[in-house]
Amino acid sequence: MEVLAYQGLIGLSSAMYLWLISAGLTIIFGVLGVLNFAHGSLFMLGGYLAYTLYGLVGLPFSVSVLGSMAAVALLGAAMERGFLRPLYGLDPSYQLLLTFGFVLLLDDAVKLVWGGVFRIPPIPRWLDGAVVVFGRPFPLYNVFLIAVGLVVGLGLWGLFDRTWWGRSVRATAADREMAAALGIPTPRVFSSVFMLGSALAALGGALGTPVRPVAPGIGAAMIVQAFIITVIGGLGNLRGAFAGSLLVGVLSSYGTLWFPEFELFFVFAIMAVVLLVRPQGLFAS
Amino acid sequence: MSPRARRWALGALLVLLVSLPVWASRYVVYLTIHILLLALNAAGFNLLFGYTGLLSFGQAGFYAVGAYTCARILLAWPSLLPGVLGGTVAATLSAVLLGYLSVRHTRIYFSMLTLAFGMMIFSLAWKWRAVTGGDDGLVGVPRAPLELWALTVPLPTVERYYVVVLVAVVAAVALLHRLVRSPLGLALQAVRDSEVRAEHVGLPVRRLRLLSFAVAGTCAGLAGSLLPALENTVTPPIAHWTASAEPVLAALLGGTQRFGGPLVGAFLLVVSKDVIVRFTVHWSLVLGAVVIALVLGFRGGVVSVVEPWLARPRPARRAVARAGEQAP
Amino acid sequence: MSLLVAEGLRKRFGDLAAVDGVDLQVEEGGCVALIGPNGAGKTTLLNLLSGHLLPDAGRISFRGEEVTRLPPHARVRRGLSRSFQVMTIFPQLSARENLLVPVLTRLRRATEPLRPVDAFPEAWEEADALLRDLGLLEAADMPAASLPHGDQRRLELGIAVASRPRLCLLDEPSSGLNPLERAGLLDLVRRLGAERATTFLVVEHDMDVVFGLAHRVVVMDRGRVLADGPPEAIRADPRVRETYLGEEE
Repeated sequence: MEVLAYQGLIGLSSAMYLWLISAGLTIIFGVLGVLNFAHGSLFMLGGYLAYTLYGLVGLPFSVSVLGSMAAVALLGAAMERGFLRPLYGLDPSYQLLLTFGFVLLLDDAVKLVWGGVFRIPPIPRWLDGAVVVFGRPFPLYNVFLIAVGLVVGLGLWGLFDRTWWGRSVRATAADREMAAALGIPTPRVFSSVFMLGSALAALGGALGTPVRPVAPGIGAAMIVQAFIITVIGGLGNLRGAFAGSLLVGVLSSYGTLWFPEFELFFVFAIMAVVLLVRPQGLFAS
Repeated sequence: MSPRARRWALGALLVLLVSLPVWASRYVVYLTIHILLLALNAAGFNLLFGYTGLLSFGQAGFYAVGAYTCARILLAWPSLLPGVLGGTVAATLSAVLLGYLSVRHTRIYFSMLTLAFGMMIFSLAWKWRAVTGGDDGLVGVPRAPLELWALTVPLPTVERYYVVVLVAVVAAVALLHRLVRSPLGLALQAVRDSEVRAEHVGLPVRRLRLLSFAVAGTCAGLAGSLLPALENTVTPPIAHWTASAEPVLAALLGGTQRFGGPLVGAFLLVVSKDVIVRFTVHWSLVLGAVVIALVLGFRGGVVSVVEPWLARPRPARRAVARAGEQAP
Repeated sequence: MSLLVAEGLRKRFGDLAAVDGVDLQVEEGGCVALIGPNGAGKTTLLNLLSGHLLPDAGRISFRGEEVTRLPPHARVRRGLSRSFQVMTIFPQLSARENLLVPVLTRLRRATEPLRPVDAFPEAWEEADALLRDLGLLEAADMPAASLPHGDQRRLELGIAVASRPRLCLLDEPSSGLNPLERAGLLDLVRRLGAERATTFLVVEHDMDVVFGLAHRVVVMDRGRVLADGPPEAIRADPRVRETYLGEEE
């Protein structure tokens, strides 16, 4: 019983990475209608940049994380303004293809700039250690992850519900032309939303730095899981993305216990089933 | 380009391809086999994308079904024809099954479903040791001889195997070409242009989409089943969604608006990858940049850039010319 | 036997009853106009009749056969076709190909996979003849999207009649046309109806079209049939004048 609960908590903490990347993906889709294939690459870039700042240059952990978020946000803005904007209004297949081109480019670019696989830098001292949960030591870092995930969730809710920016974004998402007619600067809304989504992905990648090695394949692996989660939760549905992340994170965690062989298969099967039975997502209104 | 000129060009190309083993190096022949396999895969993909309007990220799944099925057949019964036929049929059946589930949806949901199904096949290939050999794959697949009735043709060299591949791919591509010029091809384009209109002129849209999906999967499966005898092994990466990108890129590069586009694109993709790899290991980066450039600038692919100089005549002109012959 | 019988049709969208208990019977021959203020449910009714939407309640039978839940392509096969208010043609296909598709479908040749399209001269000739009637023969090879609006409207009409339907539903076929084009379209509908023995059910806002073309007018308001009869009777009906004609000009 305790094993189950403990494994569930492990799943919960790993779900936070999924939550951060899926939140960004679903916000971007909800507002811009773009399904960004390269989102996983942004996650990966966040990890590489944080690793460089924290592990190689030696900056404090929090500075490194924020720094990588800022850099990736700027990259996201450039991507949106320079490359995606010309494609709005065209067949969405072109957007998928363009972002796919970015996956190829970015995933190889990191190999060019950084080379192969890396050591894992040590966990920052203020986050090191363990708490005892269900009779076992549970890493403090995992508690930190869960805390960050919850804070991000609350922060996003507050952002979209309470601020002028958040309301403009929701208006633009609901009706682009009407929002523009009301004087909302839609191009700037698009850019800022893309930047936010990219920053969230980078945060997810950056937080992984002290616990898993950065490697080129991470982006591709994460993006597919992020797709699954956004589909399960409903494309554009933030609450659904959170629930979906928990579902996939916890189920995968149990999956590694019970079906180590076919875990991947089942995760995809869940996505397929949801798409077939309720394509608007399990949590769509 | 007038019909006569096109016929001459096509003939010249065929002569070039048929005579290849005579004058080209073994490596070039080997590379050409890969061009042919990708060309078939890409042509099938484009039937679905360019002609029917459905973007599938799952072609690699059917390619893998073809490859693995053929490999297992060849390991048990070393005869090429049953292997290739078995692989192709297995791919067609999988395509019909997965297509039936996928074509109820369109656009993004369809694309993501194909991604999911493709990756499910990948994870089966990777994990199901008993059947697929797991991450080691299937090894020791023989270059089985071609057995036709009483005739047994051994295929010890790459050059001999090339002839088999050439015949299979040319035949398949020729059939595909007939299909796109036929009323069925026109119906698929109508479905692409306007699903609602197509429904309201009496076309069973879902069934047509499924048909297109099945044909595309069959093309991928045939290409895949020609692989094991060449390489003597089959491994899981051929089923990964990044492998599904190859036919997509080939079609995009060459142009999705014309039948020959994906074929040209396959040639360009294989050759450029081969060339780029000699200078840098980062061919993926170059390819990514090319894709981005194409999507932004040349959405019609290479063919659309070259085409104005080739001025393809439309079938109507032939009919009008015929009518003109009859009129006084 | 009536050509079309619709009984008790209902369709809701959330709280809105777009079609709220409609009975309609259409006999063979001539042209029936369907008029009413915006939001009366005319397009929804057409959508129910053509199979684009399924009704919440009610029955539709066409030529004696129940078609209530048949998909659109099955209804077209039985002789019921339509045109759309929002231009719905095949933009990338040529004008001729736009007509070849319904013609080949009608000839049961649409799924022929191996013979080229120009090996079906009967389809080709029929498509060209229709193009000539529509005045579009010169544009036969041009992509439909590149045609001017008026030509596209005529092509849309052509696609609808190319299936040789017994009943053809037209949804505001003259919208966006100038008066000259509108008169031309009117003429076309009249001619095609006579030549092909097609009955038309036309949703229209333009009263000249309605009274010049139709032998019977059905008035809808708020999802229900308000009045139904010959044009002069409708013109004189006080209820109709109040809800609809009174709003015009």
